[in-house]
Amino acid sequence: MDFSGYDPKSPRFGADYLFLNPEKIERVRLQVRVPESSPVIPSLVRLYRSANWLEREAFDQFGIRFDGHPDLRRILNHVEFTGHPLRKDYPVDGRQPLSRADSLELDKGGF
Amino acid sequence: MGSLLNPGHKPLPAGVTPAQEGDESYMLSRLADVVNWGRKYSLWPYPFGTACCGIEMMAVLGGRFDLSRYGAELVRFSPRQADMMIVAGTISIKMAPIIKKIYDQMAEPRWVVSMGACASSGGFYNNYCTLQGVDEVIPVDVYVPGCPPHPQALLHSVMALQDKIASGNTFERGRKQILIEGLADVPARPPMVMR
Repeated sequence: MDFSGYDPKSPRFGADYLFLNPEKIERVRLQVRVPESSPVIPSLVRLYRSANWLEREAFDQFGIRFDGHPDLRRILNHVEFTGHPLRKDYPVDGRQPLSRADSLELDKGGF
Repeated sequence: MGSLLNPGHKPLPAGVTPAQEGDESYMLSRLADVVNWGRKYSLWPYPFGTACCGIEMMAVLGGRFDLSRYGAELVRFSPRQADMMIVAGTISIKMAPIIKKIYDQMAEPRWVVSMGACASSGGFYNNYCTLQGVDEVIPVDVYVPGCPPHPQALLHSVMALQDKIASGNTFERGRKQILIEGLADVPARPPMVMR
């Protein structure tokens, strides 16, 4: 499974899923569009464990919330980052200062 | 003809008598020179490779462009055991406190080589997540330009660091900042807020 989010004109957010059947080499592409007022998509974590980090990245970069995700928090940007940087209204060079490192402990789920 | 101390294949300058076996021979030098000579020819690199420059650094540590010819043979992947940190690759803002903590764990004397464009100035990643140069959090001794730098450029930078060590004050704590003429009117970048 592969996943990417994007920020077109309307509706505001889109999600693109690509499913692969490795035995028959078949691919299914699923496009989901959500508006800015309620950017919520049901989570696929129970079906695909790999969706855990993919959905966390979509939340981090776009702000798309996933209903039913066990641990929805930032994964790429640092802990004190506010905003969602891959949105079209976020400046490309909008660096935010960091004053502390986040914990280097392993995630509780072991993932 | 010739002895063990003077094999005889080079003519000696006028007025110099060759040493014979059994003679005592000694050299005069300054303690600082001897200590600097030992330090510069026994650098223990700490390869802090994060991105593509790490591949070029591996090439430098390999057989063709051999860094161990310059004495820097023992790579130690612990800051407690190394004295030269080669920052090879892009440093994200999320990584900045970690590299600062690792630099703090190195014992003095310690030197930092900022390899490549990303470590020196952020490279072409002028974006929301890339540290615009590792010198925002740690002091750097030698900057190596390139994306990635040719392995010969990294060897040149190690030689430049050796020159810097040879001319430096051995027993001074901290690092002397060398100001370049003509940049006095450039406003300083605000440093990262680190505690």
